Amino acid sequence: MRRRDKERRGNIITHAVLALFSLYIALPPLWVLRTSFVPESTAYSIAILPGFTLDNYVKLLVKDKFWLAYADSLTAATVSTLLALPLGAMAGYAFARYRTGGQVSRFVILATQMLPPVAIVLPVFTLFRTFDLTNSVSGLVIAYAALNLPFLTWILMGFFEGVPVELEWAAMVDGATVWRAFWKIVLPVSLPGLAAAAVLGFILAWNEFLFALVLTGPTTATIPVSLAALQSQNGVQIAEVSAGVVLGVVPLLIASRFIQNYLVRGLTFGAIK
Amino acid sequence: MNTRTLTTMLGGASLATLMMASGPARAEDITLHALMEDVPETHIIEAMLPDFTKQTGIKVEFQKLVYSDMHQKLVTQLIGNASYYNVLEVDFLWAGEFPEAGWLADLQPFVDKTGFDLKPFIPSMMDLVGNHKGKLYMIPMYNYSMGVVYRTDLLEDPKLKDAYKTETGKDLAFPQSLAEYVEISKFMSKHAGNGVVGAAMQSQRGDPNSMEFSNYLFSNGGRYLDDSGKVALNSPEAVKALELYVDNIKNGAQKGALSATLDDTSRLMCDGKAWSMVTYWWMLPQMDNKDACPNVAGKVAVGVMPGGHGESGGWGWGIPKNESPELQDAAWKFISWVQGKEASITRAMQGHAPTRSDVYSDAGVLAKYPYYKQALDVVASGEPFPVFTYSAQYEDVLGRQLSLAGSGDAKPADAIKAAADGLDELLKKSQ
Amino acid sequence: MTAEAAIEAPKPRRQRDRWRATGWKFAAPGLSMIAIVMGFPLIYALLLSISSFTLLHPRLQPFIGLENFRTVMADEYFWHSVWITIKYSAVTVAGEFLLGLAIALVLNRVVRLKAVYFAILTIPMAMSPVSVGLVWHMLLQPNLGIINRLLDASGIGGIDWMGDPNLAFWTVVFVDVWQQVSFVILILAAGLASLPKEPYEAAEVDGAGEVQQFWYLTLPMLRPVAAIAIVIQLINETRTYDLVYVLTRGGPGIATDLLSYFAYRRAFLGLSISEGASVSFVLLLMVLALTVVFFRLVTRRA
Repeated sequence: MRRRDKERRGNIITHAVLALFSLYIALPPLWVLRTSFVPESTAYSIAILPGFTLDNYVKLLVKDKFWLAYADSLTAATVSTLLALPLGAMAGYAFARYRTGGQVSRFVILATQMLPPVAIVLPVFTLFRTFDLTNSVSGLVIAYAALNLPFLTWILMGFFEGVPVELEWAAMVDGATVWRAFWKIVLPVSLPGLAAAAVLGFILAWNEFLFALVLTGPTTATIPVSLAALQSQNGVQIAEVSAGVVLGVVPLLIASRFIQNYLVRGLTFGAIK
Repeated sequence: MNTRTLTTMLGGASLATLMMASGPARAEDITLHALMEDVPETHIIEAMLPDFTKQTGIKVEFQKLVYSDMHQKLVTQLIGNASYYNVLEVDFLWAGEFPEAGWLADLQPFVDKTGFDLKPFIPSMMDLVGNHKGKLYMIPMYNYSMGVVYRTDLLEDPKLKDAYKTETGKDLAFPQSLAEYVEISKFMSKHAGNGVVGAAMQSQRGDPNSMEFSNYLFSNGGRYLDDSGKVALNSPEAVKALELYVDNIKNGAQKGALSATLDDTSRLMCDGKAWSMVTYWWMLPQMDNKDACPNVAGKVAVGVMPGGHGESGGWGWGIPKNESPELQDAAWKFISWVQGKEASITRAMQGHAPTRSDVYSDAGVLAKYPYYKQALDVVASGEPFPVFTYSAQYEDVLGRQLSLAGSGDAKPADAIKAAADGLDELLKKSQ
Repeated sequence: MTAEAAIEAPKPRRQRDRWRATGWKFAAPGLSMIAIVMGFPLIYALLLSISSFTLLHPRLQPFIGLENFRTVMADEYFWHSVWITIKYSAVTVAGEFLLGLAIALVLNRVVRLKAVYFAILTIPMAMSPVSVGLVWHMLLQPNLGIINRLLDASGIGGIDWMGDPNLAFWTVVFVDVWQQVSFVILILAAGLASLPKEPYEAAEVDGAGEVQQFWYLTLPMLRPVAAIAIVIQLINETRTYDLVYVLTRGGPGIATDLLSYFAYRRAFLGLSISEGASVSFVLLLMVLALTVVFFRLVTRRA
């Protein structure tokens, strides 16, 4: 009896904490959602809905061709992540199990991440222009895959280090090669890590600005570039920006269910014999 | 790999790019690309582009971007040997940098070849963006010279008039000097009521406060450079101007002025929450608009910065130097068309801020926008922010000092001295 | 007991070489991609930092060695930026980690509504830093923003979030943490979800309380994942640029003048790409040092 009460009390506190935190996170976006549906001139009003309009969305999608930026962002983020994930998993595995390259290389690959983008934006632009990869989504895909690979490698390295090596030994004793052990045993167990890495890769690419600005042209711009263009000399078109932000959040919201499933599944896989 | 190999590789890469990019262009094929700021001026011209294509067969494509990202994107293109953009829209802040870097073609040959008439262009604009070190590099496109947009109804309010007479012994009217302006501004904050402040100020560090302060500086008789080009900023007039600037921030401006930009001040003014704002003169039509700003439409006017001189600002058209002659000719055709009298008047009828004096005095334009008369005064009397290679960086250096003074972290005299030293340093660097 | 990390290299040389080769075979594709696409620009950037490349003189030569570094370090504002950046990174990462860990722990316990909480968490992550800046600028606008309007209406009075020199720094920190904490929660939650159950069952049997379980089981087992989360965030936070650009432009005064904004200004306003590059490399060295030290400290084998 006492245990159940204690549990219930714990439950209430738990949900209270989470509810508060959710408000802290969600209230600003809710205000953004509201602002996306009001006319620009009343955007700063204190009223909840001083006039309802779909003009911001229409203007954004039709006049500012936001849908194009949307498609470009989706492509760049998805493809670059799909490209980087297997490469990152393999490299992370090498670092975790084989200490490939020693202590040095794991930090060296992070070097590109540690530089403010402003330092390498000109060199990257020069390099990509040589191969005619500017003003194209493929160029951006390659750039993002290479840019995010170090972080993905690190995250997966961390997860692999947490996987008991006995699992692979058991598989290899049964006659599997290291390769098979990796793909059939280690990866499935590390699904939470892979999910987290995939999400990270997608988000980094989705939100990246400087490289997109420099490497894309008018038809290949991504969402951040497109939204940044809404700051004009006359001021910020905040209602339109709000609409753009709302639209930009949708893919991840949809994917959150997917992410969460894999993290939850990790619970059962985490039970090691 | 050693330096020689690396530079050879890079040289080879650049050469390859150059060869890929250049090549003969037939007249029918020509499409001009321009990187433009995403503002109404651009939209006005964009709507007229089909006429140009009909007249000349040349297509023009605009890519629009926000100001802060334009410079980067332009520079990355211009550094290489073949810029994607064939017509350049250049802000006055870069009007020293671009010619010095060798990116702009000399326009005099084009002017001579086609007999383009430069006389109608307002001298202050030609000084600002057109000429650099004696050569013609750009044709002025539109201006954003600054003056004061203010509420006439508050000046005419009898209660306020009485209160002002009682407090100062003077009549409440449009101020004639900088000190008077700040005095009225502080007065309004105290007495106008309804949460109205004297001045909506854009004192954020960088471009906003540099531009704003320049008006204070000029109207108090201060200057950045003397006639021979030497730094003349460190003067008693400048220190006084900064003292008044800081005074206005503390006692006449809205809360949060130190982080405010044009976006903030225009919303405030439009809402009716400020008596004045030192800003671009063409903010007036935006305020005087029944649909956009019902609270203040019909109650606002524009005037030259009290003291007689505001800050000049504007954009110009340029042509990249490293471009095929055919493309350059096509670019010149576009520039001379869009800045010709006819197109300029058409643009003005839709709210364009002209750089030609004949447009300001055109009967049709004046009939639609009677305040263009004041606007011409504002533009003609404007003085320039120092235009040289490092203008943009100086805005940041100056902005930092102004912001430090505004927050009380530096004394005005020290801030002016530091700003003057900073200007001197950058000028020396650009020699 | 807890899982072990790397397999030990076998002793006989031939086997060890084969073992090493396997490692390299795994790592090769990823490392090659990084080397080709990012390695060249990185080396070029390093050359830039010791060159005299400016936008007016876009050539690497003459190489001037450490001259750029000397010039930059002679600027008093540079050191201020360094200090502000260190302070900023420490505060944001600490905030994100502590808050993130707390929420991840709580989130790990619930079953119902988990999907809802997750969905909410993803929202800030899906907004680019520029958008986050613009949105929070709207919310925190001192005269018109909804937060100050509510404060005014409730009698407390509006606050000058971005214009008060003493407050601006913390405002930017607050916004940054707001955006980044979701990501930390995600990583830590995934880490928590991967922890094996046996140790906890054993501990329950032994009568260990919740706090003890947390301190002696959860924390140690979570160390590798936590370390990575912190390292990644450290690297991200030191590079913060867009937020500063949109919210305060480094002001008021120099209150929020972060190093990567400083580098940007040197490169694109000062037109000295080489100086911008040298500032960037100073930042890199700083972060590299912090990362190595921190990582070594935290991932000592249990």
